[in-house]
Amino acid sequence: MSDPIPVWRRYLRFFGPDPGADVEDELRFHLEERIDALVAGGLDRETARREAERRLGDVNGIRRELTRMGQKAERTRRHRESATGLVRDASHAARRLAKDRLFAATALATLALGVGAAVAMFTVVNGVMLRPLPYPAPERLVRLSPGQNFNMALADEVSDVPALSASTGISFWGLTLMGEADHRTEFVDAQVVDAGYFDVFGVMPALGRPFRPEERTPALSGVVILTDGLWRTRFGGDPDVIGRRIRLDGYGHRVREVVGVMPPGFRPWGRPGQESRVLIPLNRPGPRTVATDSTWYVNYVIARLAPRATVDAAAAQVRARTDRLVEAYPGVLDESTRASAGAMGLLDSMVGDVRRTLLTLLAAVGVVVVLACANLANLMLARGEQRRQELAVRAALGAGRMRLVREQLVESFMLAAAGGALGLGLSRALLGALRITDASVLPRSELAALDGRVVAFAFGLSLLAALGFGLLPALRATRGDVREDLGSGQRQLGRSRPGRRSGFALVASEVALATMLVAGAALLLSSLRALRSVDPGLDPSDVLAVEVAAPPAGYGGDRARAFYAALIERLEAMPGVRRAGGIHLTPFTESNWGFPYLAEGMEPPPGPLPSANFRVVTPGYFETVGQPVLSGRDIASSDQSPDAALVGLINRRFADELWPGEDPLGRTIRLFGSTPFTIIGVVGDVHQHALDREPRPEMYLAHGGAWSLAAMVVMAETEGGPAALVPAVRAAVAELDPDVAVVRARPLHEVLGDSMVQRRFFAGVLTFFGVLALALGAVGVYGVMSYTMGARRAEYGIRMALGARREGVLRSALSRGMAPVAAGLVLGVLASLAGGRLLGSLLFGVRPGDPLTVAAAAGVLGIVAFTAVFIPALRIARVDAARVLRAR
Amino acid sequence: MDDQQFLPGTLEVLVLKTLSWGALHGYGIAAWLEERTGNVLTIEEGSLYPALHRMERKGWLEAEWRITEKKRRAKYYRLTAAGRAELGREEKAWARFAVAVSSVLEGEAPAWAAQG
Repeated sequence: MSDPIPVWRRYLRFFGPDPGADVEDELRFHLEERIDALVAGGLDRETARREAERRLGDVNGIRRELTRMGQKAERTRRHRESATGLVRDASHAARRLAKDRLFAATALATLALGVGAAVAMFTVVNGVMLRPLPYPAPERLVRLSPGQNFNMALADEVSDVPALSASTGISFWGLTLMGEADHRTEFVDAQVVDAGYFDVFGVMPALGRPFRPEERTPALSGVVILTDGLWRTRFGGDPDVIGRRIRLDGYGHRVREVVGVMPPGFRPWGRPGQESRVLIPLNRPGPRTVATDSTWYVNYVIARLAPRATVDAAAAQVRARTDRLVEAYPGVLDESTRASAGAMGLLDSMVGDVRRTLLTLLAAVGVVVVLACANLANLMLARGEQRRQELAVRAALGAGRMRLVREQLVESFMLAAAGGALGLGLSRALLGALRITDASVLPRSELAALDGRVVAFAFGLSLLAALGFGLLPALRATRGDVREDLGSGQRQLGRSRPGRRSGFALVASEVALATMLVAGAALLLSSLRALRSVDPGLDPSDVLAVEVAAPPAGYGGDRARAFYAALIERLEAMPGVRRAGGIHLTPFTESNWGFPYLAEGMEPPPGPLPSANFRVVTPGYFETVGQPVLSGRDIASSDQSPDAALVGLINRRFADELWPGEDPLGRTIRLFGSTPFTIIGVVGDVHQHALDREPRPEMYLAHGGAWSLAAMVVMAETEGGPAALVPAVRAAVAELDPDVAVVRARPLHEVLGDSMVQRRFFAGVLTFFGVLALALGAVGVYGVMSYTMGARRAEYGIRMALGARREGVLRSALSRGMAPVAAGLVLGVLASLAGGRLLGSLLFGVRPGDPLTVAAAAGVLGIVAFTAVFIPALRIARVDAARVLRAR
Repeated sequence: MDDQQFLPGTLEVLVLKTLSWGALHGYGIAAWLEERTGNVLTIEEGSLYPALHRMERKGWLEAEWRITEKKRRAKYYRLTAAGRAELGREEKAWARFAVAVSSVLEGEAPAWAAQG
């Protein structure tokens, strides 16, 4: 006990109470006092020391006991203090925010906008890219390719590799479910699949059985499996439906036996906006090879990876197999087949096209959030400067820096939590406004809904934002020199130097980021405008497109031609209809038939024949849709008879490609290299799929004879308001034959609009983000400028008192305010020129770094920023010098 | 200096009473009690400090470090409101106890004593 207290022990207390040291000191004091008393009573020091220690007893024991008690007490004290401290801080912050309503409202609105936009975007990304496919072990599903369409023999060959445990070809097909009792005849989307389908998707029918491999044989393939939805709506959920034969026409059979019902909740994999309601087996007559298989092509081949196999391994095996097939079937398979062979994750294959765009947009919304945070940080900084005096007083009264920082962070977190909740609500509204879930804009976009991950994202983002906009201002406001402000008690002439620097950086980066977003939005908007100015090649206004599906089995021979001729005649007789005509595929959609051909005078190539788009049309179609017949004549009804010579029209592109500068009329083209038809006319080019894709070579043959197709799209040119005619058209079809279903009827301009819906969505989203960024940037510039000018009132006041003129002051204030804006504009323009490429395929008719568009964006930014700088500058120039000086 | 056995709880009430006159450090409390009781009640110093700390935790006392006139750092204890209330209760209990004990010790001989 006699060692002197080491000096450093004392300093330990600097970091808070030290119970051990306190006990030590207390006991030491006791002994010293006792020794003094005993010495005073006549004992010598050494004896006194021994006596003092004897009286105290077991010093070590006491020390241990006291220290233990002290530590326990210290712990509970600390817990109590920090808990009550947080509550106190929170209520303190709430009071402060309630007092400063303008600040609170500005901060909440900024946060809600930033978080709302980001959460809406993330909801889309989550739905499209992150949510798993609704099947067991969905990451084991792969899609095989060479190209999109396989014949069945090729599909079988490439999927027969060890890395795959099950596979199925899938074709999308439309069937007619005949009306009976109280049900109308209706069109149902069907999925034509193999027996392996159920193993691939890991789902078995809830009732009945899956398909059997032998049901590929045409004679045995007359079976069907219903989805739960169709089973309930059409068959009343009757379990006795198994074994029933239903009239389901199309794909070879008129009647099929129901062998199964899929479980509820099973959603057949498919294309966006198209939900299959029945499954039927693929069928193929007899054994065929890749070369001799002329069955209908399957659209997709989906497979499940074998245990422990990887997508890469499967892709390598599929490529190796394709290599061998290309060598085995020269002239049937070519290099393009080899080049496109592979396998990729099913989800990847669905969202691959939009992934990059979505990530770009997510980055864009990240910029918006950063801007929102920057503005808030600036707001907090300004408030912090105002509160320095208060903080200085409190620091002087012993409030630790940690406490002051914590208090301000609590305020930030409260703001962030409230702003985050508002933002979550706002994101619902945004998604509703974008109609993302019902427009089938993106693959899987119907899954863009609120889930746990979205909520977690919203709150994580809010907390991150709170740190982002709260920490720096809190540290700055409580910086070491807070106490100096206490002494000075008066305003400094200007903002402190670090304050000025961060103001410059803040404005410059806000302007740069906003420029980038506005430039991106401008690029997409110019793309849309360029797209709208493209001539589609036909005039869709006032045209109603009626997709009709006659049951193919019942409409063999000449019956389909006769039916459509009668329907067109009826439609043309209807009031409000000018004329009508049919084509077998709706323009501006992905649907396509492409046929190999051999044109007159062409040497047969060594490999596969080239291919051109193929369409079947009725007389009057071209006139109805306004597609000009440039030379020769339209199809006549006499061309439609079964024994008429085969004639057709080609488009100008095809004519120019085959016989440049020569007259194509009267020449022949052999379909599949065998069936010749004579060219009777040339029509204008049409952007058959979408405006952003170049027209392809096309052939149009007369509806009738061998091409008497049962499913046609009848176009009716109306005198305005095509949508109003839909009920009458449906009635006309039903009158002609109640067994014929209208798949759907909609104005052709809507079809054209839908082909651009994805572009419109992306452009709309980025424009919204751009406007947000512009507004946030303007508010930010205005805020910093007002603050700087406010802090410089005194300086300008003195200058004016000394004779400076208002114009001079205004000019000086403007140049000071615009310097960071200019720096930001330069940065933003450079970044936009470089970053335009991120928009990639979304651009149309405009280059990624289009100088005019980027300059326009910078111009808009410059004007807005100038206004934001000008208002505070004008205010300072109008300052009354005398008043400022008196105030000092 | 015969060591006298304390009744349990006695030390606490003595400390409370001592501190009711003003703030004092541990040694001061011990010295005052010894002086006051004419060294009859020798404070078991080993139990004084744990008692002080216990009472501090109970909220009866609060402590504060001060510098003594000899420039030594000492921990001074002071009665809190709760401590004052506790002292009041204890004093009453003691008074009742003392009355009860002395009524036995100083009372008249019982009737049955004469027969003894």
